[in-house]
Amino acid sequence: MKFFLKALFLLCLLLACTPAKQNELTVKLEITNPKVGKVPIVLLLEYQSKPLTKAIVTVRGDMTHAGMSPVQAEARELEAGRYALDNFGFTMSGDWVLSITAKKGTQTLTGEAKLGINP
Amino acid sequence: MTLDVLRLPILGAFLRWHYSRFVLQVPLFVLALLAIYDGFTGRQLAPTNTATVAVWVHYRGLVALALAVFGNLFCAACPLMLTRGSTKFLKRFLPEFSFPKSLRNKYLVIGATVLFLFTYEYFDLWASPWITAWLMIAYFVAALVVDAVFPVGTFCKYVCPLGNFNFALSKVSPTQITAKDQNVCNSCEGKYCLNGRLETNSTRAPIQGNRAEHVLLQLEPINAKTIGTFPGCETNLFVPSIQSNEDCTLCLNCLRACPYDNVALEVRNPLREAIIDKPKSDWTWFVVLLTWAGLLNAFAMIPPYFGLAAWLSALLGTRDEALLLGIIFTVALGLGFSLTVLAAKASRGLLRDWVGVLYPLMLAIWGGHYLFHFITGASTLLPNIINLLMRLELPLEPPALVSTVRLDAIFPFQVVVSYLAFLSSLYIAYQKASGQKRLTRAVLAVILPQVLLVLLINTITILIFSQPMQARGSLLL
Repeated sequence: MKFFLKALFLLCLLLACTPAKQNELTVKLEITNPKVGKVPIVLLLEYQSKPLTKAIVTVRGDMTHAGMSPVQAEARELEAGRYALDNFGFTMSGDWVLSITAKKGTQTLTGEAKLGINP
Repeated sequence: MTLDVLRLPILGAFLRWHYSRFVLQVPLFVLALLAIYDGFTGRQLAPTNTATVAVWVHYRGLVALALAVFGNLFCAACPLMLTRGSTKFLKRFLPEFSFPKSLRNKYLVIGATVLFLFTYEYFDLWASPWITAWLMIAYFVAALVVDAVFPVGTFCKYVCPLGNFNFALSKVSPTQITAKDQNVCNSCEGKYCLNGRLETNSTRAPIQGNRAEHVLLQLEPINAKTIGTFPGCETNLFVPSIQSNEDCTLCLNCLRACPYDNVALEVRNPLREAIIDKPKSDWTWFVVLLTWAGLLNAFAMIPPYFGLAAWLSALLGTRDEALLLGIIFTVALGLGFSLTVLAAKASRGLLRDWVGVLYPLMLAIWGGHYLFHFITGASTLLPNIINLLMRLELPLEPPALVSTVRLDAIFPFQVVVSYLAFLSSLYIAYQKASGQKRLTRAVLAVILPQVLLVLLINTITILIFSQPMQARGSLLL
């Protein structure tokens, strides 16, 4: 009986865990024609309500469905808070999540944005 | 002359080893624990989480592959059966009931499969690591509780949709358990493969069954290796009467329980069972369901499915996804069932006479679909596990990003698989219609409805596979 109570307690602890917040960056997307293939995207990035500047920004694109290979690219800064992905290759239509990692000095900031890609 | 896998030098020795099943189960159990942990605590993005990737990509892909090239390996390695120790413990405190006679068939499994496929689409199980982790826990608990309250093996035989899916698809697997010599079985006093064997250095008796029928044999002192308790078949299969892979989990209990070393895992013609099989009605309906549900499951991943949902939504003036999904499920499966029944009637037989024609198609539909996800996502599991282990403070290097697979490169493989199944089904239909006779006009008349059915299913399969895939969470935009 004790074993089961312990197991139940551990299970409750496990279920109480929630994933760490990753949306430290505020991310908005500018994309004119979201469809399969290479698409130009502009990322609007803010950190603590200020445009993010002079950061090395990499973007990983995943579909919401498990089993699809991710796509990764590095963005270049256009101006303060605006970063361009020139040819981001969406391999399939459907729901995508872009995970953004920005390195600024010793700081690593992350954020994500969702978008739908048309056939 | 049949080839017995259990006699092969390395593989055979491994399979005959007492702990071979345990060795296969432990890695899957560890993976299941990691997947559950990641499902609850990891990032809730399906492709980056071990729970969703392991369950919806690798498990499904490898199941189809194993069934096609070997047999029901995943039931053999099923980590749920590691709950046997806990089951035995619980049985000390719980009363054991006999499983209701009215449920000793596949209708419960059919219901569970439909429910599972519906919830898979409605709740987007594939997109949620959290729900996937819960699903795994629910599966472990269900296996534990069902087998604790009812005789062990009840869960596998009458409840588990995944296991029964494997049983159904293993009907075209190239291996099958069989007796080496029927005469040895005829003179066997204990039916040990079925009842299990309890052996001391001077006695031998079956573990279960009507033991009053059996004399406790008095033996001469024998080899210590044969002494012990050897459970029999948990799904109640008697080796000399096995003609099919139905209900066989490849646990190899029969091999160890047989004191006469009379059990073989023979390599067979994968189409043999389909040609001779006339399953009971529950099995027949289950196969028909899996065939058409396989098409529906693949159809739900291409743009025309979402177009159909949008059209239906506009027609009915509703955005209720459960209702729309329910209608699509009912119409698609209803049409499939009706066409299959009509074809059997037109072929002057019962559905069970002709259902074997569907076996290769069923494997090709699910296999072709799973092949797609497996090839596109095969390399995503290891990086996810490494990331998970790094979160657990293991000193590992961050994994490199996996390379992208060209999606259009998979289609030719799917076409080959589909046409192999198509030709196999035609062959089965011909064999069922003619036996060894020549192709006469009468045989043609009987076979034609089956040819048309097979052609229709194969055409739909290829059409679905030829479409660009679309992974979308919501039915309606």
